[in-house]
Amino acid sequence: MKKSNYIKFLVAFLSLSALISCNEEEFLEEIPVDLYTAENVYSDPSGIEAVLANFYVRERYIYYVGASDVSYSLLYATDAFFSARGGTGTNEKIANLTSAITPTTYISQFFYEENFKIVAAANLLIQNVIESDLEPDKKELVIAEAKFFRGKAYRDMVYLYGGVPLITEFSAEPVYDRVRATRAEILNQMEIDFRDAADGMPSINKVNDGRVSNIVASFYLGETLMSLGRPADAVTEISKVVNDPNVSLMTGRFGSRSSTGGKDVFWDLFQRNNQNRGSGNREALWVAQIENDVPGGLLSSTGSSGRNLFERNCNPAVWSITDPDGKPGFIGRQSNDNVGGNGVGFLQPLPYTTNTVNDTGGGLWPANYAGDLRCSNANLIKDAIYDNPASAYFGKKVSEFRGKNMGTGIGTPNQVASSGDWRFYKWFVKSTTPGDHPIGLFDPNNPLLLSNNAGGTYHDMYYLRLPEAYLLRAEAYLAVGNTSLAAADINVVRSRAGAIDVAPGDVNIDYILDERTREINLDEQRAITLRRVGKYGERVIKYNWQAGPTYLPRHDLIPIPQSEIEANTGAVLEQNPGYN
Amino acid sequence: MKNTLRIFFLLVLVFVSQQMLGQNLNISGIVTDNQNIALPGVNVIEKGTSNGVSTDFDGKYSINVSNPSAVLVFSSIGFVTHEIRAGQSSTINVSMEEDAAKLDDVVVIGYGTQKKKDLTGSIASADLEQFEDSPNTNILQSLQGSLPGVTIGQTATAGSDPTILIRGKSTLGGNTGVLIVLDGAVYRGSFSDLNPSDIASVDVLKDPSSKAIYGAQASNGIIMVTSKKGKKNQKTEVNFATYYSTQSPIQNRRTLNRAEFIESSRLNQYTVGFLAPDYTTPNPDYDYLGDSGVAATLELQNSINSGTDFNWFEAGQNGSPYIVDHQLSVRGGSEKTTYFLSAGYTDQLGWIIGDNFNRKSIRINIDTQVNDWLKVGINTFGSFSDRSGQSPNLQTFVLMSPLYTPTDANGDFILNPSASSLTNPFLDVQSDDLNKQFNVGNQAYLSIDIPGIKGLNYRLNYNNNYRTFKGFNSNIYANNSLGAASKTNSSTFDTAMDHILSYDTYLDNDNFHGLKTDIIYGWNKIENETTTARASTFTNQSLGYNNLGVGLIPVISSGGYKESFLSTTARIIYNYDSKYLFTASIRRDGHSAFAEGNKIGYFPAVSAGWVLSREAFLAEYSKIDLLKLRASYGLNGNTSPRYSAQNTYASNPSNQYVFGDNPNTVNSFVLNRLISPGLTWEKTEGYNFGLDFGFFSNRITGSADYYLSTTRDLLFDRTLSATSGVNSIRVNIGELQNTGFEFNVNFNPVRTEDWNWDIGVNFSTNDNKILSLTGDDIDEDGVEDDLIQNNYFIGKSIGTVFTYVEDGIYQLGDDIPSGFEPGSYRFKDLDENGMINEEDRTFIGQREADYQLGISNNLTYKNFSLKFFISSIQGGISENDPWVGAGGFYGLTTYVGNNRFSDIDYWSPSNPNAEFNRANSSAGGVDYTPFKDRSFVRLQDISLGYTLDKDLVQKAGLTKVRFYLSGKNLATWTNWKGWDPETVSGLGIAPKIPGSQNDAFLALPVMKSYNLGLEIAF
Repeated sequence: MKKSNYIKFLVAFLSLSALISCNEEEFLEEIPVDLYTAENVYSDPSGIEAVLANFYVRERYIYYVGASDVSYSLLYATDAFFSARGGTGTNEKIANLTSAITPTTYISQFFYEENFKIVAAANLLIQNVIESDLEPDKKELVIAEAKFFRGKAYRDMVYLYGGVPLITEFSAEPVYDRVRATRAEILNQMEIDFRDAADGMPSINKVNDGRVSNIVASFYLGETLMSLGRPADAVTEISKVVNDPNVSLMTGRFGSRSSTGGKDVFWDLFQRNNQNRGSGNREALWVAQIENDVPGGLLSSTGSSGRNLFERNCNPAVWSITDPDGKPGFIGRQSNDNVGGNGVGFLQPLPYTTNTVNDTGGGLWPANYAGDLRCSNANLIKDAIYDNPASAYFGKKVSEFRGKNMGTGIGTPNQVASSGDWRFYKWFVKSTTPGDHPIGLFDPNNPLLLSNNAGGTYHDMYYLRLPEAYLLRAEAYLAVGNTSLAAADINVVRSRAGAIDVAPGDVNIDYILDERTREINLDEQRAITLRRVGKYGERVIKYNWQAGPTYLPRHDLIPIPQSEIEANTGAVLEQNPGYN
Repeated sequence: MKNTLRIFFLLVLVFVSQQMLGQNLNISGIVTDNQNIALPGVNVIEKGTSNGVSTDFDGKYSINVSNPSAVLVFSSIGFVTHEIRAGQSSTINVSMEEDAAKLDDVVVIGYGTQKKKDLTGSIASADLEQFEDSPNTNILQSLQGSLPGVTIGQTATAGSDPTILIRGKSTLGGNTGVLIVLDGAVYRGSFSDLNPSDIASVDVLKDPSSKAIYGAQASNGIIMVTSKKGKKNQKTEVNFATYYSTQSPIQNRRTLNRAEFIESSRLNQYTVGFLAPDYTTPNPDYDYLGDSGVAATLELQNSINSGTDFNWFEAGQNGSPYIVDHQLSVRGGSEKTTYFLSAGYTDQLGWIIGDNFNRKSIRINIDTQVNDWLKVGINTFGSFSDRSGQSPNLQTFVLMSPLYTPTDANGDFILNPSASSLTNPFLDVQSDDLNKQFNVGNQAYLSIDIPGIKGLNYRLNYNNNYRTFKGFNSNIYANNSLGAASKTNSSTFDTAMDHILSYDTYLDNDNFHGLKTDIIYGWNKIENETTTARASTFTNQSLGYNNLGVGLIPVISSGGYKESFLSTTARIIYNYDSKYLFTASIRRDGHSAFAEGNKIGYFPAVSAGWVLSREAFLAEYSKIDLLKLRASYGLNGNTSPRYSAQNTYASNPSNQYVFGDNPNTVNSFVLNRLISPGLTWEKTEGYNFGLDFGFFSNRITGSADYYLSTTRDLLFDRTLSATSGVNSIRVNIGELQNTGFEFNVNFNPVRTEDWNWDIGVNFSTNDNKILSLTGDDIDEDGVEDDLIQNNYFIGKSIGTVFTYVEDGIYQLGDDIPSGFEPGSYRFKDLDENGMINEEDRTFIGQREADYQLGISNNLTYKNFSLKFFISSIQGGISENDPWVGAGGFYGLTTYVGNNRFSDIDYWSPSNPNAEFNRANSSAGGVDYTPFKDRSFVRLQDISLGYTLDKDLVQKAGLTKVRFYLSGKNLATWTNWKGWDPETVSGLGIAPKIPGSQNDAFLALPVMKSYNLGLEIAF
């Protein structure tokens, strides 16, 4: 090799060696470039706000989004609704309590997992906010809101499962040895959390639409105190809600469709855009935010992404009824009171829920549906009329000429239901928005009809409305033995609906539960309410012909999920009695 | 004293050799093959020196040697290496013998090559020639069934990559992909981006020591792909090859027509369709429309009453799927520079409409010797594939009944023709769809023979691979006919550098003790970015995806990642006279996805070989050409996906919220992964024992291997208590074992001037067994607990099947327990407690096959060649439920309204001995799927070729003209029912088989094909 070659070689080799050197630790450091981590979430007020916002996402998810309609399992198998199509092979549409509610079914898993996600996120947030350099008064607000959601999560769980593990600190390391706290321990923690939240959160006129406020915390604090056996204290707390000058029951027509004739204030409460305070609604306390075709709004015209499918689940499949000749009796899925959109009839009210006192078997509405807005023709649909001009039965009532595919309507309740009764039954208008579906839901080829993507309920949903506070305080007055004050509270709610007053002597817990069905059915999570007041078994047996016979005492609580027991390898997580 | 003597002798030797250098003896000659045709490019080397030349185009060489006792070594790939002592003669003509066993072949190992005869590990080299006449658009298809221990799956869609499994599954939740090394660099693109015609060899590293050189990413096996190169002193050869393949499904399945459909509905509702008590006499009053409840709307009733009989299934297929392939390549080389250039074009039309694949590829490989110490080269390729077109939802177009049509009287598509929630499958097809993947890359190197020290070499490999994906789609029917459009653009840049310092020398002067050492330092970095923009609700849809801004509802998302690897490796290869062979290596690897402090792993390996046939005691047996024992040990790693050890927060559309009635969306964050502080490499420790043999002048050659590998610290997503706030955490648990036996043998019973016949047989088994899981014993029975919820059982294979035992079907009149009905499966009450519950499950088999077998045949007579290949997998069961995907609950119609395939043997009162249950029959809450044997034997490839006479083609100025006719998958013998046993796609129509060991398998048929090909060279 020539000398010049040696030099060339040396230069080449040295310049290559320079390429070799690099800092190993730096090179192998993993930085997720498109994901948030603890470092960039809590270091910034906007990150903390985003963690808070997630509580609202999760809460809405639990009641209105859950896959396989698991959210509605809190309505099935109660004293108000049953599974119109016999469960059709799914556990979530509970027809048979024994097979639907087991340690391995999704129902038991869903409410446990989802609520504990809220608990964990609240603990993590509280811990990080304390350590953050947020201003002290802002810290207090954030912590109060986080505690509210922790309390709310435990509230749902304590009534569904009884005592669950009590966790108030986030663990960065997996914990495999959880044990259950007692019901009382959970309730005590809820009292602390709701009280801190009520003290620390702003008043309802100071928060954005959809946000929780001090009186929402006071409501749940009152409810918790009832469960702790302190009804007098509960009265004090619930009175803060009822007496808040910023809230009152709506008594006159209001909102987006106030000029629609033949309707009433109760109907207005469930029209699109009428739930938030911004619409003038002053009785809404806490509202689940649902918008159509808006990111984060849950619903979309394509029908594929969202949920809140009350229309689909609650409304009968009127559009599918054939007339007695076997010809189509309806022209299709119309957005009106007669057809009710794209219902498919899963969640049917029990006879007691829609019948009047003078109907066979009785019901909770006054005779001939007179004198109560909540069962007026605007709010409770009682019949359907054949609307297909090509049908020989055009203009005739379905109740008088049952469709060929509806069965005879005669026989045992089970025979009636399974032969097609789900194509028509009485239904509550609040589950949909007749005549006011978003434009994207109509069939482009036939603008009279809704497309198959319809089925959502295109208004916000109430978590809490002021009437429920009156009814809860009535419960508290009843518990301290003051039936006249209890009756007075119930009558505030009844008189707004135009119903006659209840006499103090007629007030008992069953009356209050009936009144709740009249006022807040489909808003309240009935399976929680019944378990909270200890009347689940009694009333399901009494009113639910379908789930009642399958009731066992164990169903007063739902089981701890088996997956949870199995994942908890370091200690025994006790199962609820009767499920082993 | 000893040392002094040694030095003295050394000095003498050096002196003597210096003296000898003065002498100069010229030897020349011609090298030919056994048919007396001149061989260009044969290396002629004076043994033990770097003195060497290669033959020219006419096979001539001329070399100066130092003395008459010098030994000339003639070597060329594909020929037996020939050694001749120079002697006094100045002319030496050599006739090279073709090496049937190809024992002199060079095999690509990690960071280098090695002669096959010196291997100590288990490396399978693909016989690409055997499959060159098959219409394989993917190089992996040429490996299918032909390599012991390597299982390559079938493909069912155009241009897709088959699955690869090497020596069984060795992980629970870790990475399952094999590592692909393309021309020396880790390649993370798709196999379908590599043009099979550009590939010279595929070597699969199977044993733990061969793999260990790739340390942390090695445990699933390594496929070494080498592209074609030019040869030195070779005249330019232009090669043109083309084929046309016509395809059709290997199974002719169809759905029910109108009459069959209505009859089937009657059978399904036999209680109203037939008369009691035996339900075999049709009920004259049965009214399909009234009793099935299918026709809720007027349009449907009209359609049904007018006698509509529309074949949806057929309308969803392409009439004649095909593959067209053209290849053009130019290769050659001068004394210093070699080159290979190619261009390829492949166009494939799949079976289902919208399944298209088009690939254009180019490659330029150039190597040049710059001077006596520097060599540089670059392999560059570009692959441009186009899969534009959207297929209809397969499930839906099976389910659509023949009683209605996709379009109305005006020819407009009906959104929901069945009036249920099933959307018209042909709407998807109306999409304006674009799907393009570009993949460009290069592997550049620079090799320096370090001056002054013979055998010391520094090599720098620099690899770049840039892959882009464009997925554009717009559909005017989407979003309730308001339109939806989207654009996804994504790119991945993968760059790597390896510094390799190697020293190749002999420890002694007689060149007995060969030693090669390598030190390698490398890094690899991957950067990805993705942007997706969507919009829906268009006032005017004529602009499609080209102007998303006019959509009223926009959604934008983007993502990206960075990942890095770092490694340092040392290896020594010792070779004593090709008799005793020894290799040892260690690799230190770092990967960013593991926890702080656990990012680094060490992966050692040793292996040894003993060539008995070179021992004196076997030398007298002339029939034995080769007998070699091998043993190896190594530790291999497996990596975890990105961010496995990080705590991250989810922030995505499902975590958005709107406060108030004005569209004012806020994002929210939620923790979705906990820090896993101890997370580290999954480690597979393995042993391999092998035997290579060659008898009767290598007319019988082959090898046998036994291996045992144990994987520890298995990567696994452990389910966490819900109280943790997240569902699972990635941890290392348990222990898993794979053992297996592999055998392959090649016979060459006939080898005459006119006739040649090669037969190859390969056979392999793999047993997979879980040895340990979490280590917990919660039920305190003294035995570690299984993970039943994950279907993992200690002592069983990963794919074990734990389920109920089917015991016939309940018949009319049987004493049927509550929850069951006539036509539903009957199960064995194993615990005899009077009810069927989870305690009645047991092990009924496993998904893994017992063994796989491949038989290849290659017969040539003069200019004719006949090849065929038979592939078989025996044993193993898989889900085969005819009702899977048959429609759960679609609005108002159930199984009655949904169509089905015509080849299902299901129960009805008139077919009591059916194989399968009645559709939708209640199974008493028992979650059961039938499993069936998936064994099969398949005539995978067969071809007949004819090469025109050389004299004839030379007159036309050509060097080669060849025609062939071939067939693929022409016959399959199996008891499996449904689409295909190899894809385990059965009678049902589920898009994916739940719990299947294989990844997503569309319920699509495998194609058989007839092909006509032509190859011309000049």
